[in-house]
Amino acid sequence: MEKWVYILISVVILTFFLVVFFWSFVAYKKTPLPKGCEDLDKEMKSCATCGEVLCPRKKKED
Amino acid sequence: MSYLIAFLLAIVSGMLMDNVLLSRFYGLCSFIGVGNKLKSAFSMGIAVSFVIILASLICWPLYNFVLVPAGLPFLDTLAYILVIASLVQVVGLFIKKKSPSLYRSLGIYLPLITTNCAVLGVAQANTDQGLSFILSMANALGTSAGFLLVICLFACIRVRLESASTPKALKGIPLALLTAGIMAIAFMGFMGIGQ
Repeated sequence: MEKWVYILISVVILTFFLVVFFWSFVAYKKTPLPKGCEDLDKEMKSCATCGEVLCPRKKKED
Repeated sequence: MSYLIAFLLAIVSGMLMDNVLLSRFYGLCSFIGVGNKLKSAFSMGIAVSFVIILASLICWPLYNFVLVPAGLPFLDTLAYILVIASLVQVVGLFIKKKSPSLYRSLGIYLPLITTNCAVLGVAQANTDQGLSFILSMANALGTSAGFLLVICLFACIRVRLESASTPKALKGIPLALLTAGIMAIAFMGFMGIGQ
């Protein structure tokens, strides 16, 4: 195959992944939290998963 | 038969001798951040393993069958980041919609996987070392098993360290890093297996 065909294929594939990323990002944000997982959102906002003990925000929340 | 042995050796090597966390020090952010509870460490390990295997499955053909013939191998890092970010988003979306129980245990760790350099490191190492597809899959399997093993072992140790009386200056991350260093020395002992 000609080189430009491969370049075209690469561009198409990379664009495809870019579109998939943005589509899934928007869909993820729009999807409501499953039942029973509402408290997870609070956990995420309160940095519960972060282990950085020196973070001033975490100290404030604790 | 020799191919099967090479496959198994690549798995064992990626898991023990060339452990992604303790010999290459990739993915330390999640290792230190999440590795203080066994359950969260296990969930993170499973999620990272899944993405490492899937990313290797896609990145190897993308590099060898598309980027190299097109004369664009320098775009590999950009392409891998795109693949990993899309994979993590799609997996996250699927879990959020279809499996609330899995979302409950993995949901908060999913966004962390995109920034985990272990995933990118494995995909990059597979192509940089010129491994065949089968060997790159073995490397991905071994690396992910090694990540899971070490993050769980580390969580067990850290749970005990939390209750130990240690100097104030060492509490938290300094002690975790010292422990990781000692674990790395212990894992170096596996290098004698092949000799």
